[in-house]
This record gives sequence, C-alpha cells and structure tokens, in this order.
Amino acid sequence: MIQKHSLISIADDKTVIKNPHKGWYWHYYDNGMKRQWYRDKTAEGEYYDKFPGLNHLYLRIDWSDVQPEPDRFDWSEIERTMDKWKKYGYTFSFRVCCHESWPTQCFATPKWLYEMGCGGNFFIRDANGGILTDENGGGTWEPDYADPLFLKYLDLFLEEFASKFDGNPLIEYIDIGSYGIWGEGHTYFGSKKCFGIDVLKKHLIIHSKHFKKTPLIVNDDFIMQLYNRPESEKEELRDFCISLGLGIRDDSVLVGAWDYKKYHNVEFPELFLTLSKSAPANIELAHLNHYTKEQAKDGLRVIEAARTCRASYMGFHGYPDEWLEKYYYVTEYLANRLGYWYFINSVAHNDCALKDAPLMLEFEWENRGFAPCYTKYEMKLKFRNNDYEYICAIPEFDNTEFMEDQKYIKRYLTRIPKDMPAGIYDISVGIFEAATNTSINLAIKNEYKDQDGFYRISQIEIR
Amino acid sequence: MLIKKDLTPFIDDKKVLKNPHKGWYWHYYDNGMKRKWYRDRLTGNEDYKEFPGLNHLYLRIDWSDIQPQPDEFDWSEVDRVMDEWSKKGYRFSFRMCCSETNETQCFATPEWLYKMGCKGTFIPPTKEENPTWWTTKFGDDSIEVFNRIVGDTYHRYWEPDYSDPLFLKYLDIFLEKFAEKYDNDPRVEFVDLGTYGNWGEGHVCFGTRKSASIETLKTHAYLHAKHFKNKFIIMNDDFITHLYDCTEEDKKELYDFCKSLGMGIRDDSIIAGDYIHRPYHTIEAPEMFDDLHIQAPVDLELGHYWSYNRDNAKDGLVIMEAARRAHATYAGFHTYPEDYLKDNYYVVEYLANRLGYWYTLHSVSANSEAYTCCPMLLETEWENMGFAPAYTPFELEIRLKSTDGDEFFIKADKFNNLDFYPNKRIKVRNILRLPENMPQGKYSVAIKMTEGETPILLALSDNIKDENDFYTLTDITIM
Repeated sequence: MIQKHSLISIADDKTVIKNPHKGWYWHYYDNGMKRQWYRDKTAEGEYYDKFPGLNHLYLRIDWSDVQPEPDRFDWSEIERTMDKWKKYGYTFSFRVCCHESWPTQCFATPKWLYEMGCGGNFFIRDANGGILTDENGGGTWEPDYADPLFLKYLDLFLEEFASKFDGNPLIEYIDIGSYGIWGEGHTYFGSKKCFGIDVLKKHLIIHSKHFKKTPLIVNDDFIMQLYNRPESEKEELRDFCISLGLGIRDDSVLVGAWDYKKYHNVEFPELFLTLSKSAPANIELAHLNHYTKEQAKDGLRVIEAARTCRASYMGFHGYPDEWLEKYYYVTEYLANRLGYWYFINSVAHNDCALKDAPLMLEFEWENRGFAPCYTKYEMKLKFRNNDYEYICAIPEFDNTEFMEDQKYIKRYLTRIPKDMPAGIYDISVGIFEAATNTSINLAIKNEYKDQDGFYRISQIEIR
Repeated sequence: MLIKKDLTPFIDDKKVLKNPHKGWYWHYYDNGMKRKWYRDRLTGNEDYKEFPGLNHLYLRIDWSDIQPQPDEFDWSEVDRVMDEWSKKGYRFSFRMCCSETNETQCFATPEWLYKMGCKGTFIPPTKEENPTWWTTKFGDDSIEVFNRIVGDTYHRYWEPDYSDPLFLKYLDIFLEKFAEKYDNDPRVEFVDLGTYGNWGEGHVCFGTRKSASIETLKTHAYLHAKHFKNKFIIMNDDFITHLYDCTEEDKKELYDFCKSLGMGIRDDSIIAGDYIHRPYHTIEAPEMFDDLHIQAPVDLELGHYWSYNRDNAKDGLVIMEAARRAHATYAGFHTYPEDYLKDNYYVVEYLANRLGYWYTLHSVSANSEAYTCCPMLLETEWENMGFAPAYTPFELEIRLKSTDGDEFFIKADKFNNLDFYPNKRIKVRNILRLPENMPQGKYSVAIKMTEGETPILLALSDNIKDENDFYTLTDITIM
C-alpha cells in the first residue's frame, strides 16, 4: 500500500544552513582598493564563521586598481584575497567601477586613459554639497562613457577580466559597474547627465560578450535613472536587460527618508519581479553609518525589501562585527530565507518494492526562501541497510522550477536493481551541485543527515 | 474605450490604518479583576492613540469576579471600563476563567459553588516553593493525599471538577447571563473559550494534570456556542493539544466538534520559554491555524513580558513570523502598553496593518464615457496585504461627483470582501445603473468601503481621500 510519510516532525527551520549561491555578502573592497574601510579591523585569524549565512566577499574595485598601464594587468591583490578567504568557504563577486567621488580616488578609470585624450570632466563638491565642474583638474574625474577610446579600452579590459574569472566557480556574479558614480548606474554625483541608451546598451553588450558563464547583474538605477528621458527609453533598456538574461540589484535601500517609496524602500519592485525570473536579485543596504535603527525599522524594512525583491543576495555595508551586534537576528532570519531554502514536507511510496522493477516515490517539496535557485542541482536516492547500499540519480529532478513560497508535488520513478538483496532499507535523499561536488543542505534536522550529505527520510522493504 | 488606470503609485503601505476587527490588544484585566497588573499605572488621561493599531482591551476575568452569589451578577466594573474605553475608540474581548494559580485567587470559580458541594481539587504549593513542608508533612507529592489531609487549609488554589454536573449547571446559567448581556454588544470583538484549564488556557499543566473527558470538553465548547450566537468564539490550541492520556482519535473528535461550531483559534504565550523543539514561529500545531482561520479569527498572545527577552523573541521576528504563519487577526501584548511600545515599536507598527485584513487597490477600469440610464462597468482590482481575510462583510459605495459638485451614490451590489484572501489579487466587476437625472458632463469616480457608519480605510494615499473617506480613483464623462 502506498503510504504518505509526513516529514514535518524532522523539519528544522531554525538552524542556519549554509548553501551555495545565496546569502549575505560583505563589502570587502569598498569603493576601490585604496580605501581600507570594512576590512582594516579584521583581526588575524578572524574568518567570521559565526556570521549566519555569510556567503561571499564583494570586491568593489576600480578599473585603475587592476590596470595600472594600458598593457599591464595586476590581479595580485585580488588573488591574494581570494586565496586567503576561499579556504574558509567563501566565494566572491565583483564590481569594477569607473568613477568614485573621493578626491583621493580621482581616477577610478585609469589616468593613462585620460592622458591618452579620453573625454571626461572633473567634478568637485562645493561647501553646500553641490557638485561643480572643476576646470583645474581637482576633485574626481568622470569619463565620457561614450568616448570611443573609453569603450575600446573598456572592451579590452573586460576581455582580460573575463578571461581570468568567467566561469570560475568561486565567482558568484559580476555586477555591471562600468557606468556611473560608484558603479551604481547613475551620474548624480558627477555630470548629472544621462548618456544615450545606445551607450548604455554598449556597456551591457561588452559585459555580456565577455562574461558567457558567470551571471551578470545590472543596477536598477542603470535603467530607471535616465534623467529627463522618455519612459519608452527606460522600457527599451529594461527589455534589453531582460533579453540579455541579467539579474538586478538596488543600492542603498536604507539611505534617506524616501517618503514617496513603499515600506521596503525599493523604488522599482516590478523590475525585480521581472528580472529575477532569469538571474539573481541583489540588495545592498548602504553604508551602515548612513542609516539608523529608525530608518531600518529594527531591520523589518530590510526583510520586506528582500521578500518583495525575491533577493538571493544581500550586502551589509559596514564592519561585520558592528553589523552583527546591531542586527544579529535579522541577519539570522535572512540567512536561510535569502535565495532558495528547501523543505521536504512528505514522501509517499509503496511499503515494499520489488527487485528489477520500478518504484515510484512522491515528494512534496517546498521552497520557503524568497527566490528560486538559478543553478540546477542533482538529486540522488540512497537505499541502505547494514549489508548493502544502492545510490541512484533522479534525472528528472529540476530544483530551478521551485519558486519562492510554493509547494510542489513531484513524482519520481527509479528502478530497483535485480541483484539488490531483499530486506528493509532506509531511504535517503541528497541534493548536490555537480560542478563543485557540494551537497545542498535541506531544512531537515541534522541527525537525519549522513556524512555524504544524504537525509534519511523513510524506510522500505525490498522483496 | 475601456481605460485601466494604474493605482499603484497611490498605494500607501506605510501609514498605519485603524480599522475594525483586527489589530493589537492589551491585557487590561489580567488573570482576574483582583490583580492590578498592566492597568495600575493609569492616570485616567491615557488614550494610547500613539499605539499603532491598538484595537481592543482584553478582559481576562474570573467567573467569581462577576457572580459573587448564585443569584447575583455584578457587571458594574466591566461596564465602567467599557464605558470609559469605548469612548476612546476601543473595543473589548473576554475570557472567563475558572482556575487561577495563586493564593489570592484561590477561587476563580465562585467559592459558593465549592461550598454547594461541587467537586474539585486543592492544588498544593510546589516543592520549589516549599521543599521543607513537603518533606515533613507528607514525604510524597501526592495531590490526593494532600487534599485528603490538609488541602482546604494549606492549598494555593482550587481547581474545579470541570465535569461535575453542578459545575456545568451553574456554568450554563452563567454563560446564559453573560451572553444575554454582551452577545449583541457591538463593542465586543470575540469571546475566548476560557472555562477550562489554568488561566483559561485549555490545559491543566499547573493543576491536577488530569484532563477532563472529551465529552466534558465538548460540553464546555457547546455551552459557549449555545449562548453566544453573534460573537466569534475562540478556543485555545492547548484545548486540543494539551490533553493528557488522550488518544489522537479523541483529540480529532474534539477538534472537529469545535471546528463544526465555527470556532476560531488562539495560542497563548508564544514567546514564553525557548521552545527548542518547535519551529521558528513557536506555534506547535500550525495546521490547526491553517484550517480554522478560514472560518473565524486567529488570535496570538505573546506571553507575560517578563517571560521573554530579546533573544527568545529574536528582536520581534518570532512574533512577526508567528503572525504570518498563523494567519493572525489579533495579537495581544501582555504588559504595560508604554513598556511594550518602548521596546518593540517597529514590530508593533509593522503588524498593525498586517494583522487581519489590509486592503489596497491596484487598478480601476471604466469606459471613458457612460450614458445616463445605461449600465456602466466599473472594475476594481483589489489586494488584501494583511495576513488574514476579514470575517465581517463590508459594503462598497460608489460616488460620482460632477465638476459642479453634484453627487450621485450607487451601492456596489457585487462586492464581497470576505473573498479577499491574503496575497491574491481579485478583480471585482460591477455593472452600475446610472440614475436618469444625472446631468451630462465630467465626473470623478470615488469609492468608500464601510461597515455601517464606520469607514474601512484603504492602503491608499491620503491625497486621493476626502473628508468623507471616499477615495477618488478616476474620471468619467457622462453623455
């Protein structure tokens, strides 16, 4: 008789489980390599293993940090950092910026490009915080993002960048940061000029041309902060991003009062709903010193932003210890809920199976995370008793169809080998990422998991 | 041409709306009238308007508070409180308890019932409270021995025999009187089924630890349902889950009986203790809440404030998650309102709108032109952003207002807010028959949702709401 076994009693929704391609990230290099913020207080031997769901280090660097000369690329600092932190299970993501706002970082785009004659302007802040053009070469230099020289060398740089990191399993995604102040896709603290959408499309094309495997993420401001431009252009640019399969990000959701925005402070949530269908959504919370408990509403605003935007990643923007001290429980809460978070609510199968015959198993899956998973994993079943073990793959399993907050009844067929000895067997299930040979943790109590990453969920008699 | 107007720019999900039959409540009488907790600091000037979404005062009183003699019912204190606080815009809910757990409230069930011969058990002090006494007097911890020898002298409190015919007879009479007084009072939100167990929580963990029979429990449920015909009755989840020596079949029988009586459900003390073996939200049987919230409101009580802290409430996230998971309409804090608000303002604010129903509009569609005497289509696209449906039907009125100020009101006949389940968008299509006497011209189209005279506020900008609580949605030309 087919019995349905409820697995609710072995579910565990409290333990934070670490899984790939989701979770928190730490702005490690922040506004270029020259600034030491957020990494200069990290003690030797501190690897933040107590930080719930810390997935990767976000490397927000400047183009000039890694290409000091037209024909010289220097990745040594990046490699040193990656070598150090990958040992502790962390991955990485990049944004390479072309304009910063601090005078000490005048040239985020390499100075040699300016000296070659690439167009651009210097901008300086006045006493009131306004932005002025500085004819004397003070302040920071915003390149002319449309200048053919700029685009030519950007193309060469991205080719080199991609040849080094595209498809590297340590890289979660590349944030498209070549346009706008701090790479945020707007020029508000610079020329306040919106470049033509053909130029913006070129930036997208160059990234997509070179990064063929690693997901690309575009900033919502890149699409929506087109000053004084018609809505039709925003729609055209949005559709172009969709067609390139880009993911999406919002920076600084906790900066400012934003009376006109919704509770979650995300200005264009509909963009997230659209673009998150094909690639991850990413929320950055703004520098920690820029916001207060009131603005964050004790962290509830952060949670609502993540939920509304189907976020897979979220970046705190401060020293990890300070962040955790203020927001431990929000961090813990979101650690599991960012991205995918798989439960098995029940499994149904016949109470006995026959050798050399098919066996049907019906699973009820639930994704209680805020987003689908964008990486396809493998499912395996293990039948085991004291004398025998049999593992089989379930090729029809497709976790990428498990959308957020949805339950799925899935029926799988496997075949019991003809030489399998009769007896009572434990049935276990395991989910794996083949490329990295990583087992995916399920929201099931740890005592049901074996050393190979399989969870014991039922028993069956083989005859 | 049929024009669909996008209303999402007007959605306001930040302003806290005060709407009926949902929100926070304050344990005003707490464990009977004799205890002063949570109201003893009042100066008389408080109105707690600053408390986001405070809906009602929870009156957790003892049977003996109200019926000092078999033939005397004294509602004067309750009436005084209801008069005072209803003027400030608050409603009320009740739990009538029959067993408290301290010496000063020995008889939550009236003492005269004990003296009449109603059976029951005196509950001794715990070993922790008086270890020497236990060792010297008895040498064992048998409640039966204690009752036989000195129960009526050294007891802490009395637990009635909930199945005693005398008890049930007088409970029936009491509930009849209780319902006679409040069943038709619009100020009363709901009545908790509180006549069984410690503090009315549906368990006897701090008493005999011997559960009443299923038939007795069914009788308690039935007596409430028999007398309260117009109020929601809310049972405690422990009424089902904390039955000692009871089979799963019996629990199912009792649960189905309560369900068939249309009851709602409540969980007490979701933040008391660590609840290591429970899910994050701490609710032991969420499937009961899934099932019963369809028919009646869900209520969560957070536990006395001294029994929880930042760590077991996880900065309030456990409360948020419990309310979402349990489809809660009401949540009750259990301390002084100022103290709770000071420590938990943002969770209170967050839940104020999300407890129960919380309606907004995404779009309105109408033809750009309509004709007097002819039907006119008006389609509104609704979303309930709250955690639960509403359980009270509301009405929708449509107002057409000309540029000259002439107003025409039409009641929407096809409108059922009870269908608005959380997180689903619902399109409501109404065919309106325009009055014959409408002058031609341009009109604004506005809507107002009401329960009788009370407006139901929507999560829309105040910029499109007028002083009569109509929300202007679009324009139309009458030909």
